[in-house]
Parts: sequence; C-alpha cells; structure tokens
Amino acid sequence: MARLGPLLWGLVKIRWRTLLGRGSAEITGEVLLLLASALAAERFLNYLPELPIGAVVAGLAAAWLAMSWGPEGAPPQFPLTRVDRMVVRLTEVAVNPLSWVLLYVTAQVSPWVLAIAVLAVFEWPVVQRGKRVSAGPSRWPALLRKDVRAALRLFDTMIAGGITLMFFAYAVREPNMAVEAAWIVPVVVAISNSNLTLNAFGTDNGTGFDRYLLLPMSGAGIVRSKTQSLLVLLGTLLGLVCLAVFWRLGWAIGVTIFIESLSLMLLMAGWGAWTSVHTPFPLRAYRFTDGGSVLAGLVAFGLCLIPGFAAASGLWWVRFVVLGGAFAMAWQLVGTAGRRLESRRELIRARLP
Amino acid sequence: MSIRAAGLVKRFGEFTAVAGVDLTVEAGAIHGFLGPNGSGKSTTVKMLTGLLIPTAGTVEIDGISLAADPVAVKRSIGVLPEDLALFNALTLWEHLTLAGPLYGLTAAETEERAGQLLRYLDLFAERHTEAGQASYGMRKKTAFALALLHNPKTLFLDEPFEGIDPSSAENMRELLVGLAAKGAAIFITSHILDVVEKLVGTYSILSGGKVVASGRTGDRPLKDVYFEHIPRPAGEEFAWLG
Repeated sequence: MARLGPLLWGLVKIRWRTLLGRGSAEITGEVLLLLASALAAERFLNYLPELPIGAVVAGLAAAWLAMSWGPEGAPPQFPLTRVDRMVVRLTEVAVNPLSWVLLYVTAQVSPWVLAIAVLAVFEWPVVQRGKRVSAGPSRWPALLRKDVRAALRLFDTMIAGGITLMFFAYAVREPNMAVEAAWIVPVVVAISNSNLTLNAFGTDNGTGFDRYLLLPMSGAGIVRSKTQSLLVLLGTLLGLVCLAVFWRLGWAIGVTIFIESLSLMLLMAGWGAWTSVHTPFPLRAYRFTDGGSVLAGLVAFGLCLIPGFAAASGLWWVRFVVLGGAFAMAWQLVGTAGRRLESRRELIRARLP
Repeated sequence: MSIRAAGLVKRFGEFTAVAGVDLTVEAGAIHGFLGPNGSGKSTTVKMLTGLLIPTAGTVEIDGISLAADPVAVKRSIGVLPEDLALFNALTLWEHLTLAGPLYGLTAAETEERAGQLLRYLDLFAERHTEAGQASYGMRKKTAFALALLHNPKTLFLDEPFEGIDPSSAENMRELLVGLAAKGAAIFITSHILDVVEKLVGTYSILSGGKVVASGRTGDRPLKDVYFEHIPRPAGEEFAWLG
C-alpha cells in the first residue's frame, strides 16, 4: 500500500490546487439543486412512496459498482490492483470537501436526494460510449442538434428531465394535484439545469469554442445560437410541466404556470448568456460539475424564485410585470453578451479545457 | 497579396510569445512557417486566424483587416488549427454539413463536396463517428476537410501532416499543390523539414517569437538553414539506456 502514497498525495494536491486555483468561493449546480430540492421536499417529495431501506441500500450498492468499474473516470487497470483502485476512488471522494458538504446536507433531506448526492460525489462514469447518435431530428440545425445532444449527456440535465417526468407521473397518479407543486416544479427544473444554463460553452470544451470562433459568425450570432439551444431544451421540459398543469388544474392555473415558465426561460436565457461569457467553466458528459461563480449561482437561484413567487402571489399584474421584466432582461443581456464575447474570447477559451 | 501581417506581438502577462512578426504570403504561394516547440508558431497562426487577439500589430487577408471585419475574413479563409477545433458531440459528417451553409453553400453542394473530400481522405466510411470518439488522425482529416469545404482563397494549416497515414498525407499534399496552382495562398506550420522542403516555395523560421530566417526553398538545403539558426541540444551519453 505504501507504493500508493505518492499517487494518493498527488490526488490531495490536485484537489486543493483546483480549489485554490479557482478561489475557495465556489458553488455548484448540485448544491443549488439540493437547496431547491430541500425547498420542494416538503410539498413534493412527500407524495412519493416511501422506499424500503433495503431497496435504497441495494440501489446504492448497484450504483457503487457501476461507478467504480466504468471505463471512464475509473483508475487504470494497470499497474493498480483491484484493492488499489478502491483505495484511490475512496481517497478521491474523501479529499473532496464537496463530498462532506453534500453528505451532511442531503442526510437532512431524504434518501432520494442522498442517492443523487452519492452519484454526484462519485462522478458516475460513462457506462456506454458508442458511436450511435440519436438526439434531435436530422433536419435540426447542426449547432442546435449538437447542443441538445451534449446537454442530454449531462447529469444536471438528466435530473431536470427526471424531475419533469416525475411530475408528469405525479399528475397521472394524482387527479387532485397540489397547486403549490405546480408553481414549485418549474423553478426546480430551471435550477437543476442551471449548470448548463450558466455555462453555455461548457459542453463544447476549448476545441469546440475555437470552431465557433473560426466559423463566419459574429459574437452576437454565437450567443444567439446558444440561447436558441437553451430555450429549446428548457422549453421542452417546462412545456411538459405546463401540459400536466393544464390537464389537472385547468386553464386559469395552467396559464399562470405557462407565464411562470416563460419568465423562467427568459430570465435564465438572459442571465445564462451573461454568465456564459463572463464566468465560463467546463461541463463534462456523464458527470456532475463543480466550479463557477458563487455570485452567478446565487443570482440564478434568486432569479428563478421570482417567477415562482409571482405565480404564487395570486396577482395577475405581478405575473405580467415579471414576464415583461424577464423579456427586457433577456433582450439586453443576450445582446450585451454577444458584443462582449468578441473581446472576452481568449478568457473564455482559457477556462475551457 | 493574400496574407499580410505587420508587427504582430502577443504577450501573456509578462511572457512574450510572439515579438514582432512581419509576414507576407502572395496568392499562389505555399509558405512554410518553421521553428522549435514553443517558438510561437501556433500563437502566430491563432492571431492570423482570429483565435487570439494580437497585443500589437495588424493582419490583413486579401486586403481586409481582420480587426475591422472578422466575419468577412473568416468567410474567406480555411483553417486547420493546432487543436483541430471540433465539437465532440457532432459526427464528422455533421461538422461538414454544419459548416457548408454558414459559408453560403447549398445543402446539396455541401453534401457533394463533403462526400468527395471524405472519400479522398479515406474517411467516408467513418463519417458517422462522433468527433469525440474518433481517432486523432480521423479528427485531423475532418478538420482539414472543413478547411477546404468552402474553397477558400487563403489556407492556414497548423501541422497538417502530423498523425496522418502516408496515403492520406500524400493526397492532402496533392490537394494543396493543386489549390496553390489555382491561386490560393497557403500558410503551413510543420516540424517535418523533409515534407516542408518538398511542398513549400518560401519559408520563415521562428525562434523565441521572432523570425530569425526566411527565404526560398531550393536556394540552400532547408535543414542546413534550420540548424544554423536553431542549434540542437548538446549530445548526452545515455549509459543506462539499452
């Protein structure tokens, strides 16, 4: 085991260098998600059936195996033995301060969220890496297709999709849907997808960003293309939520949630365009991601709550004021981000691997 | 003239990567840009193609200033960059079909040209492989095809033959010679002196961010000129090796 000493010490140094290099003030999409889940747990998660503890343990054990032996993210087969690899994986988790924060926070909430957190800290590896491509009809513009395909490989987006589907399942099962769930879920969906929203170039890596710069597109054109992709993705998820609400709660509340969803999309498009250009960080397929700006994350969180509160307020004019404000903000920030991209291209490129 | 750079400087903080490079490449010429690792070749190419903003200096392509009208310049140039600049989530074929319409080609034209290029580069059968799953050589050939797809008047190729199989490299070389004969200006960086000597008409040698030599191939063996300006590290005896 002593021969692993330098390797384990190297892992510790890498983790701390990463934290210190970016500044210790970091916030993660996972933490935002957990906060949002904690808020929603009281109203939403209570409707889920209680799982027997044995099922949770079995699920976690299966996840452990999948996470430990996958082809990506797992320690190399040679020259490490099986025991060595387990030690390395455990050390990777243990030296990550995020692991302990997540463990503490999620233990307070529910086994469901705990399971999500376990996936997060262990960075679930790719199970299938194939050539087959599926996302998006072939007639979609290639840049949009590329963005959607990359987004569907992010755990954050998968969770946003999972929450949407769970809500849809809840609507199917429960004819008397709680109104509170209707206005909370769009907020949770938007927040859980915030890593992608706030890092539009994160899925492209540096090489993809270079291609954007080489194509005959202006900075504004590049940002508009990214915004379009985000709106398609978020619009699909929130559209499903709206459908469920229209179905179960009728037109009046349905329109309220539609306006809330539209406001959320516009706010996230605007703020996302701004942060994508100003505080970019990489996103990895089949991984949760840490990094980014505390301020950007908190502002996104705050922005997402505004349409939710407006929907809950019962005042029609407030909802329209929020929608108008969201539109103005999106218009202004997407335009400004497009102009800023030209001058900030080196900074963005330097922060993407 | 097709490529004109004057007084190009690039600093990263205190470090000066390129310290005042002047270049002119005429239409119909193939220009070799040589130098050791870290000499500033790729940084220069990135400034010439708009990937990096020069700290000082100007770049003009076909008389259009890169700083004043970057989109017009990008429309007229083809680039094979150092890191290939591909999207991992797109297939090799999708890269080409994405790029064609952005350069004003119709879908039919794009598909015809893309198919022809990929067949010539022995890549057609693998065209539906995602770039993220493709080998380095496949990615490089795709980036090369992307550089040619819109029939640019000016080409920038950063190490085009590195990692390419011999038959594809020969086809690439033939394409470049043909393109130059039709009036394109081609700017190539490379470490492989033998290949460069056979392909290019003029060259510049870069060291420490400055052009230390330039001339026409054929006047003197390129290797002699290169090692005259870029000395090899002193010999070491590796008693432990072998």
